Amino acid sequence: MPVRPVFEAIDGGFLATELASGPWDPHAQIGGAPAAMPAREFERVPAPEGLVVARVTYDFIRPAPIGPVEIHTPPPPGFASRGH
Amino acid sequence: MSTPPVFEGSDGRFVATQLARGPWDPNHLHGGAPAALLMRAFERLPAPDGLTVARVTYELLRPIPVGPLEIKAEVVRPGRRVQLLEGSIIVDGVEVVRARALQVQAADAGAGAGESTPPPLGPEHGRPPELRVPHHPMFAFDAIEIVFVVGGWGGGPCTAWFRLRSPIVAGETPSPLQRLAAAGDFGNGISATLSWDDYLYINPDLTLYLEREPIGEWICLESQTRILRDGIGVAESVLYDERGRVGRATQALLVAPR
Repeated sequence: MPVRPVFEAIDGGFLATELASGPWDPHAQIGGAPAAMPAREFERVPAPEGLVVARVTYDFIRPAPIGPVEIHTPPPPGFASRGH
Repeated sequence: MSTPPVFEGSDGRFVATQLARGPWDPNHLHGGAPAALLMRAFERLPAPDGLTVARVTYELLRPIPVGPLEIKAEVVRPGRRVQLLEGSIIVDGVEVVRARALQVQAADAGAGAGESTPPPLGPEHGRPPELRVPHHPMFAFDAIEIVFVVGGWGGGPCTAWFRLRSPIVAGETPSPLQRLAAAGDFGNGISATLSWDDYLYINPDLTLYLEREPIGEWICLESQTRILRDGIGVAESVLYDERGRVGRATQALLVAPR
């Protein structure tokens, strides 16, 4: 039997399963679950060869419920090529 | 005569003076200057009683030229116990710095586990670094006094105290949080292990974590830069004020041959 996932792919997004739930509220996800999802999305954003992730900062703005979620990766403001 | 400021202006429009200049290019600012100016903007936003700055992350997106700039700051997630603030510095319509600050309610007095770690040897025991300075005036040394109590400039792990001599904004005394932001961006500079002539080790970001509100004029950094082979440079500093440990500063580094 396959191991149950933390998120299941559904139309237009993902479904956070009960395996995503945290200790404070059975209906809310632990931070590590949504933190891993954007990390997966960031890995798909095109980047020049040789660039690696140096830092990720997560702002947990509101409780993330167990259930359907969408993930957006808005275009970043962009670093200058010069100096960076 | 009043001390010349790092920035002149008010109401979101400022001019960065030469006292804001960094070491890498005489036309560009040191990260500590915009970090302090954005901290000032965050301090002026409305916050419920008891909320205090827990973290600020600065994305230093582009070089910031000496000269005019605009600054904006707003509460993006208001709250009674947690707030998220966002601010930007814009030059000629282009965003050059973006910052987010997290404010949280200070911990209940009954939950704390005591006092902060005592500070290192005080600044009165410090000595100024022996250093070839690339240009004058600049943020380091001219706007901010720097004295070492352990190690020296660019010699690996070290401990140094910082005190702003110049107002961040003309006519204002800098707050302790502005002083901490100004000093917090020096970790990579003071604890560098690479030759200044051969390498860049410039930071595209800065994150400050606060364990309590800082006090006083002096901020101390106990800094270390780690650069693994084929890895990512990171400079890490424990921050102190005269009373003891106040938090941490972390910078990711672009390390490249010049």
